[in-house]
Amino acid sequence: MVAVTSITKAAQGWAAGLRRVFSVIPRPLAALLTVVLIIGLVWALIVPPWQAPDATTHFAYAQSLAERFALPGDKRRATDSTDQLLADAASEASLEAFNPKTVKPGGWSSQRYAGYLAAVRSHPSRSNGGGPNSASSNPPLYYLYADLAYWAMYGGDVFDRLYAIQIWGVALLMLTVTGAWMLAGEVLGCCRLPQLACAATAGFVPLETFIATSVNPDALMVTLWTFALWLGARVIVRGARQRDAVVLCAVTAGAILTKATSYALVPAVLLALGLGWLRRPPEERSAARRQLATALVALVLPVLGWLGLARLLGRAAVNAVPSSGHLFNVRQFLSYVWQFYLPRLPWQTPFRAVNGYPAWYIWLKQGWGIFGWLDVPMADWVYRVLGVITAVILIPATALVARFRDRLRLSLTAFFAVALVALLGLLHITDYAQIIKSGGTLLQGRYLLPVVGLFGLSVGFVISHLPGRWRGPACGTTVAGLLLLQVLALGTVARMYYT
Amino acid sequence: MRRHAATISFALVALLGLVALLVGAGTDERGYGFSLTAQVSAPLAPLEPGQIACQGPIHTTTTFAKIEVFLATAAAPGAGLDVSVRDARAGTTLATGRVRPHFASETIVNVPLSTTIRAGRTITVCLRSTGPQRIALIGSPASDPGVVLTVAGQRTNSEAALTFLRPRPRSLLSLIPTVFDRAALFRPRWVGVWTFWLLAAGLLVAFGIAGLAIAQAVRTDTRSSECTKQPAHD
Repeated sequence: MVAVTSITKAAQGWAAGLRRVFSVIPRPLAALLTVVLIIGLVWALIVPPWQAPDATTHFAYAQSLAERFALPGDKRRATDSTDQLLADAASEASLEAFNPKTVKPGGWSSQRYAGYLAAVRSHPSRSNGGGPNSASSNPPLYYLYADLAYWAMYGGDVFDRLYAIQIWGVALLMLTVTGAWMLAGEVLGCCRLPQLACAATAGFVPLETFIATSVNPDALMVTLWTFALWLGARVIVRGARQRDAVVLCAVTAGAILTKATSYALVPAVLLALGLGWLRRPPEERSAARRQLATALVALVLPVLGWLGLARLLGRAAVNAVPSSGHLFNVRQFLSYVWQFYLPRLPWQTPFRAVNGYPAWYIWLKQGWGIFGWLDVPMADWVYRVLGVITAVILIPATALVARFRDRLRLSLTAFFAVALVALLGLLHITDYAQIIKSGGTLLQGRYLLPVVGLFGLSVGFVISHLPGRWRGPACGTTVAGLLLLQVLALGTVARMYYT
Repeated sequence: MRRHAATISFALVALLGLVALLVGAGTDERGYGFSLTAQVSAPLAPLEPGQIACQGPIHTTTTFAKIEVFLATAAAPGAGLDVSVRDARAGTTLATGRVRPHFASETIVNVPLSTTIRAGRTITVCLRSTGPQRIALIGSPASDPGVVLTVAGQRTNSEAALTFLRPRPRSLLSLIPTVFDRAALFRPRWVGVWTFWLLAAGLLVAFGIAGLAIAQAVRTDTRSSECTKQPAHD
């Protein structure tokens, strides 16, 4: 009787606590997060095993860390564990990569699956992997996050653990949506319609839902970038208060410890801190300077710690394109950038063997969503429509931004612009280096996902500038369109892999 | 009033869109049944007139009534094929088919069978060249150790690319139960077909919840003077 009373009281306490938490969350956001949860779960479970870019590699990394507390890359070891190889062979995951039209998951064979379940009773080794791994120069933060799900399903087979990681990614998707909501609130004010449009866009771009629910460090990086963009805006708007600055620096450090691409965030973060400091009254600036210096410790210390650890372990801390012997040629690089976005001029040497505009294929088509190992596209007409929609959002947004005259908005614009340009710059320099080294390109649409929050902000921004009576219908149409796009994308994936 | 306009817009777009997707799925017909893991990569061992190539055991995951075969030849007119589908264990002939294509280099032939083969069987597919020219099946190195290709009685290390086609094309919409059956394989053990039906229902509910989100957002903004005023010209 006492036990029952105690349990009842505890349950009531929990319920009261949850009610307090949810009472803080605005209702439109709570509803949106519920939708994100549902859609995220569908993505996490519908995609066949390891049918996402480099999923096998990232899983092997996560497993090495989970089983051996060791980073992968040991040349004396196999890349994948027997546990992973057995499941891969049964589900034909590696054969299916790049060949989804002819190779179907495990041949759709329930006998094959039963054969796997019988074989796994012999407890194939989970810890004999950890060998050379193309992702081994990635810092470990994402993989530690993924390992929480791995350990939660430790008693299960590899599919239990793989899909647990993917389901755990739904939490990252929900956080990204929350970060985008906060970003819109900070920049556009707490008007729910623009916030809803911004957050829904950030969460429902099909590529974002696909990547967030895959085994991929980009899942965490997008979340941290979205929060960094929000916090940077907050630092500027609120005059670089110490708590905001510390959290911004810590989030930036987290992004760098997830993937080296996030070094591109540093210039924007430093700019935000500087601009926020300048908004302080002159009499506060001296003290504020000391506070900001302290905040920077939250950025510098973890990054230096990782660089030091990587050096100690004798491993690369950054994915670098090995030197080709070709010098970086500024004129050639500018020609490469021109040809990425614009028609090649008659006197320019062709930089790529492929026809068409790389920006169209990589940023637009892949950026909205090509799934699997970039081998499961939606129908061509979908991308043409999305291209028009993207232009309808970005052109008026740019035109509105160009009319800014007040200092605060110009500061925010500068912050976002530096983040975007630094990211693009880093990606293009790396891509250019790869092309002159080996002729192959490494850019993919998902590398632009860190700034999906800015795209969402553009949507919210345009909506906030519509006449009052049009904002509701515009937001409603946007959210409905995004959900329909999600259904279309999921249908594309299901059609490719299961029919 | 504004809340109604917002939710009506949402509902209208969602409804029209869902209907369009349903119509699309209903008219998207799929004749494809299943195929083996072999790629359409290169010609395999040659098949002289009268020689037989057999591949199996093959577990059928879909009912089929036609087999798509990829052939290569050095010269026209190539060769015809007599196809037999046999029970892999008993060896009895389940269905036969015959084609007489005319081709000069490579071709894809659909061989209609005398009867439909049900899903869930284990079969061997044999193809006898009826001449006049030497031909070769197209495939790739063997990737599935359980499936063996013999050509003229000799075991090979290759696998012929064969595709098994349904008796009648089925719409994507009608294949949803099949999709869920297949998606439930190679998943966590707690996941079953029921999970995907539940998630599909959840997707529909998600539209409703999104509509509520919009209604709530309009309601909140309508009450806020900050959110109802027109943005100042910048």
